[in-house]
Amino acid sequence: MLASDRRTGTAAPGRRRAAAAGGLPPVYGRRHYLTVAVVLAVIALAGAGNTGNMYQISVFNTALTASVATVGLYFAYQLGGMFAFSQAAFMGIGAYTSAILTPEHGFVFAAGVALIIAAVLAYLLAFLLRDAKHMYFAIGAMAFAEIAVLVFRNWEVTAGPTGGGMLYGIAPPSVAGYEFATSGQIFWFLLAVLGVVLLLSVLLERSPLRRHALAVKAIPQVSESNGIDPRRSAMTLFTYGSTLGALAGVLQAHSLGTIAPEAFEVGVAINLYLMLLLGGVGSMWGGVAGAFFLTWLPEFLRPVKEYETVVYSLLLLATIVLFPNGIVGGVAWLAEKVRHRRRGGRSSGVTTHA
Amino acid sequence: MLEATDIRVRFGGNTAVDGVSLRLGRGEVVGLVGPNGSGKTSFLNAICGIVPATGSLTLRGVPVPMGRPLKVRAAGLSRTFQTPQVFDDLTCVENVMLSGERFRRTGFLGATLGRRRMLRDEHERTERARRALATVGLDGMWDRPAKGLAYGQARYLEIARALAGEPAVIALDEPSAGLNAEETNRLAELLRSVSEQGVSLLIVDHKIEYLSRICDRIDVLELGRLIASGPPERVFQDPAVIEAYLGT
Amino acid sequence: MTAIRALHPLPAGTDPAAAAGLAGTLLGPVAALTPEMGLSPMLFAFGAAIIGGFGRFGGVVAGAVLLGLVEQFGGGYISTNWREVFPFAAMLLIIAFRPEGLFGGEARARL
Repeated sequence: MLASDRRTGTAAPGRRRAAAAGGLPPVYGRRHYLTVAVVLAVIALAGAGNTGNMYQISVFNTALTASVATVGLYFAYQLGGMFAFSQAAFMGIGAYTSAILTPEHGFVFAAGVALIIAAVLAYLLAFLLRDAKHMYFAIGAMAFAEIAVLVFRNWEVTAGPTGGGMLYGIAPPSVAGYEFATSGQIFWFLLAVLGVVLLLSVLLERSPLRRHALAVKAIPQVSESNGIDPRRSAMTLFTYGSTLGALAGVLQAHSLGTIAPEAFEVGVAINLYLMLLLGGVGSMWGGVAGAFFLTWLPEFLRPVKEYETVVYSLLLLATIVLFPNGIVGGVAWLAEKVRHRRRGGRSSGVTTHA
Repeated sequence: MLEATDIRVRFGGNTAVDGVSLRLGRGEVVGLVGPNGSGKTSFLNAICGIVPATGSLTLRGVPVPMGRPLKVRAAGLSRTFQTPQVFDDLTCVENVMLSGERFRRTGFLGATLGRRRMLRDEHERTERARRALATVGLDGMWDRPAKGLAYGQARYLEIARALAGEPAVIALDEPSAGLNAEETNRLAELLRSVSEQGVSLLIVDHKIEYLSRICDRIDVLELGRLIASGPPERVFQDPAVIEAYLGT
Repeated sequence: MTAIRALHPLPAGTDPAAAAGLAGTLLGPVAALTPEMGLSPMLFAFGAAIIGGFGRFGGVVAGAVLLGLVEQFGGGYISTNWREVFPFAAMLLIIAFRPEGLFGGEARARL
């Protein structure tokens, strides 16, 4: 299938470990695809049991949309090294563009245009802020986000019939004539989109882009001396991550049917960051885990309505303390412990992959 | 191979490097020595393009603009740093794969649309990287994270990385720092064999013993100026050089 | 003059809680108070600090006043609806082209 399947034919020591990756560094191992399949299967099974219940499914749908946004955030922040507080704004850009264009041009075209516009804007923003140091970039991104929200609210194109940027009656997604009308159908659609996003992201992880990004993030000056352009790497990842954010916005608009500027404020971006941090900032799976975790948390707290805020905060605190590497980190730690015990204490010394 | 002319580096009011010129032939090993503060590292940083400097630079006969590290690297100059700069999050082989002359298909399009060719390039890069690691004796650690390396091993990793890019010139900033006598000897052997493959070496260092053994020429800097240049035996007997060192 | 609504970030040594309290008091009469409103004024404060250069009280005040002025004049001469955009746009442009601020401060990230 892929060139990585073929062995290169030259014998070299330590080939056994390389066998899985076909003579390439461990990151090229195929386990990524397996993880995608597992994650999708788990969500599918959990959701399938609930398709009858419209409320539960809508929670799933929210989590799925948020996952796309957090995976984007992972690329922009963890690999790209940029504080993408603009992520919610890009969600808005995707949402509004798609909502406005769909009635006349159909969902697929509208979504496509939305992604292209978002990519261009993200690239421009990254270019504009290319020399900005971390915190300055963060503030620049926030300023951009504020401008975006103001535009949504005041621009006659996005302001909507009642003004103030509130749009409703957005059509559900439809591809090649098939309309995903019910919440249940939307669930499967969103799951499929998430699958595509995860696969695309795995392709990026299994490529030089990943090590270039990590190198640039760690020591940009040394990377440059080795011939890697730090700015190009960061800009590419920020653009990709922000475009995923826009995709999340498109999905949100068409699954909820209504959008308002408040949904895309900076506070939402900070919430997305929280999801990524809780889930485990070191991998895209952390984004998915965090998105689901944080979306569900208010649901679990429903029984204790009066103390909701307190319990919420306490749970967040507990998670941060107990799982410093996020949920994914906690799972990995557990898996390592199990493996350790099964092997009778022999340490495997294997690196955890990003 | 490398020709640096009239390099000047100024920091604020201080002139760290005051019109130093230097030449390296193919396979030549030059040691750049001098007391602390003589401008050796600044000179190195200047020709690598990471500090602002004036002067001119030619690599492999082609002029290279000053102050552009990417262009310097593309023209064939690699370097190592005073403290080994390895990327902890990456495996050893990935550290080495970072350097290279051809960066085609390493971006987004390469990962997606141009995937087949990208993977073929990756195979090639991995091979080259592992060969470089074997040259420095680290091939056994190729898929281990670089975080676990000892100081001396990190040094060698840096050299492997510099080698893998198939450079014309490698500039080394105090490569023997932190190594004991035996390790320094091994380093000297490694550097000598590298130069025998045709790579020119510019070594900034203090340890006169190994430099005398492997360098074809020694250039001495004092207060930003070149005060002596010639074969090691002659230079290290030069009274001006001895005075410069004793004077600190 | 709505310049007052730009909060002053703190020079080293000022008691943060006290200053925050003071800022809140100043802000109160100008804008309706809601618990979620922390972010935009915070952004203003950071923007003012960037413009004026961190660590210099006078610079920061100047930055705050400048942002307020940009908002007023933008609103007056260009468009009242969009007046809130101008300070943010100004912030964005200044970070892009002169992260060290108009009055100097920390260096930019020249790699």
